[in-house]
Amino acid sequence: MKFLEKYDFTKEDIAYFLNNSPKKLIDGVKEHKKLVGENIKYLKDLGVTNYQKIFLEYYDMFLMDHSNFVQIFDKYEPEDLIEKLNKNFKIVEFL
Amino acid sequence: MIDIEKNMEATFDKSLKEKAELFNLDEKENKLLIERYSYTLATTPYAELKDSKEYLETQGITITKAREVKVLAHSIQILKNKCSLMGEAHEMELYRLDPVKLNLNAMDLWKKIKYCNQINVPYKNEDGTYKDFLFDEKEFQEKTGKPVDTTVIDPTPIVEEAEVKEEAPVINESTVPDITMTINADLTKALEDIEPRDYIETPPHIEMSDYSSNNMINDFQKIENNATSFSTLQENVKRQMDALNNEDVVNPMDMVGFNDIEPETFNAGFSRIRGYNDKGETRRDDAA
Repeated sequence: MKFLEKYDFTKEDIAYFLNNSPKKLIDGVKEHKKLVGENIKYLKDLGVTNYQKIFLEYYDMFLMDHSNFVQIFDKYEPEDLIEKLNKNFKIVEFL
Repeated sequence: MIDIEKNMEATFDKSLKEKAELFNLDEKENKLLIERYSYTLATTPYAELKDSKEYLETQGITITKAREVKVLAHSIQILKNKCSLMGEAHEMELYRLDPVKLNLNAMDLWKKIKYCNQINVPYKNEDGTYKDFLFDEKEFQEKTGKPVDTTVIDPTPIVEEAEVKEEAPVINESTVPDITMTINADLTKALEDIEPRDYIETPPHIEMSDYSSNNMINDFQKIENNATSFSTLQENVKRQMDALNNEDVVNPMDMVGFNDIEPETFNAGFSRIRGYNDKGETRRDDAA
C-alpha cells in the first residue's frame, strides 16, 4: 500500500485504511493501484484538499473506471465543488 | 442428494443487476450501487451476499444505502465476530444506525468505548447516536488525551517492485495473527478479523534406513520400466517397505516378477501402499 504515500497519504492514514477495511477491498485497491492512483490524482489535481479523507471513507468508489469517476465531479463548477468538498467531504455521497 | 438449484447457484453466479436487487434499494441508490460501489457485488458470489445480508438482518442491521453494501465484502464469519463483540458490549445500535461502521476494527471501537466509560467521557449524543470523535483517531486522542493502541495487520503481503517494505507487521497465510486480548473473559471468544483455517493433515512419513534415497529412486525407476502383475507388485513393494522400516534392507531389484505393468498402475499402486487413495488423499483409516 506504499503507493498511497506518493499521493501524500501518511503512514497513519495507510494504517487506518488497512485496519478498518474488508480484506477483499484492500486486495482490490492493491491489485488496481494504477487505477486507484489515477482517480486519487484527479481529485488532488482538481484542488480538493481533503482527498485523503474522501479515499479513506469511499475507497470502493476509487475502483471505478477513471472516465466514469471523473464524470461524477466534472459536471459541477470546479470552484464551487472544491469549496463544498473541502468544507464537508461527505457531500460526495450526494454528487 | 445434490440440491440442483443450490449447485447451479454456486456454479453460475448472478449478474450485477440481480445481485443489486437483493437489497431493494430505491432507484437512486440502486443506480449508485451499480455505477459507483459495484466492486463488492462483482467480487462476491450471490449466495454469500445473500447469507451475509440475511445474517445482518437477524441482528437488526439493514442495508439501505449503496455505500453500505461494501460491508458484505467481509466474510460472514467476520461479520459474526464483530456483531458478537459489539453485542456483548451492548453497543449493537452502533451498527444498526450506520452499517458502514461494520468496516471499522471492532476491537478498537470496543476499547475506545470502554475507555470513555472509564474516564467518564460521553460517547453518545442525547438522541442515542454515537459522537464523531469515536471514529477518528486524532479527534479521539484530543477528546480523551489517549491514543488507541491499534495493531495493524496487512492480510495480503504483496512485495511491491523496487520498494522497501516498511509497513506494519505482515501476516503470512500460513500463520495465525497474534492479537493481544485485553478484554475480560466474557469477550475472549470474539476473534477479530480471523477467518477459519482448515487443518491440513500431513502425509504419512516412512522412516528410511541406510538404503540411500537415490538408490531407491533409481531402482524403482527400473521397476517402473519393467513391471509385472499388479497384485504381485503390490505384495513385493509392501514387503520392501516393511523391510526398510525394519532396517532390513532389500534391494528391490532382487524382487521377482516386475514385468508388463503400466507405470500409471504402478504409481497408483505404490501410492495406495504408502497410504494415499487414488485422489491423493491420505487413507490412514483404510490402512488401519
